[in-house]
Amino acid sequence: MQEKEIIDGIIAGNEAAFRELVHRHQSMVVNVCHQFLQDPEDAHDVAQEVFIEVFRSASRFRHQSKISTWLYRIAVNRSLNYLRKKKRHDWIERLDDLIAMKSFAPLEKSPEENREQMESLQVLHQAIGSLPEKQRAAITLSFFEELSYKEIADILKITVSNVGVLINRAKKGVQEKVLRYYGKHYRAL
Amino acid sequence: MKCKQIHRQLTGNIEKTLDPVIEKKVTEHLSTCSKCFFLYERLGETLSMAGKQSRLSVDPFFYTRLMARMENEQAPVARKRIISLQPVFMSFLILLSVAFGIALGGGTNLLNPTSSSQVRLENIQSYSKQLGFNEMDQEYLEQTLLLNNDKE
Repeated sequence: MQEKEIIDGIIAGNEAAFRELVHRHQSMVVNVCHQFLQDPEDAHDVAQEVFIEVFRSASRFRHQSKISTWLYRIAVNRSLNYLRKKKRHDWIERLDDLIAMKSFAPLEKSPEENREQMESLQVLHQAIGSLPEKQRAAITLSFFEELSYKEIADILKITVSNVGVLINRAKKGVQEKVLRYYGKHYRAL
Repeated sequence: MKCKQIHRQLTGNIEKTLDPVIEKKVTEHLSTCSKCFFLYERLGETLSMAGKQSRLSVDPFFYTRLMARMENEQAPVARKRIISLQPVFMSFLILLSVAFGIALGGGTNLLNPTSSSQVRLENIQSYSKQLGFNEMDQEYLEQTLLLNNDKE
């Protein structure tokens, strides 16, 4: 089924078209939400909201971009809204999930090395989570989704050069926070 | 270069995007400063984690749960509509019962507004006769019976 057929099908109330859309993009949407929210349940919850919005506003889709770009945009906006509403920026709570290996691929290393990697991942998320929203969105899509600047520009509706500016600032912010965190550790060593 | 200046270049050094001259200075500094080297390693490890995070596997019942949620969200909308229409419906019922009451109380006048009061009176009298409700008629009968008794 072509993208246009899917959208036309959804507008016409064809459930098979909607099911096709969900099956094609559910993994991407859930994972984008997860990168922002760092909680599997919240990610699934917000991903559902994304598809509900798509279902309700399919008639407004102009086919000027790919469906995936549109979905990315809704997923990013919904995730940021969710964070804003719930004010759940307490990343320390997430450490329990990380330790429980919910979101981390186990590597064949010693427990000590695994612990260090989990700590690094947590520090990275904490640093990204403390950035301003636009920088956070840009760097998340770049770091975790590995999207090009052009794709990020389309999703965030900004120019490619602005994406570059946002990501550079975000990297500086992350670097500063990571160095501050490990600087304290170095003193403790 | 001082440690603080080196710190600003660490991400660039990890990503190999520095000017060769600056890169050489940073590398020299890292070989002599243990703290900067420690931070450089930790930063490199932290940034590399972005690509190592596994993809979250999607709930196999994601679509089923999504459809259930959509149905649940639609149901309250229909219920809300019914609730919002309830006062209108109740007002209509009250008006209807008032109108029915007036029609019933007004007799044929309301149902047949063209009938005159004379016709109505005749109708009432005929009904009364049939049902024996006319007091004058009853009185006349009683008086006749009394007169007959007197004659006897």
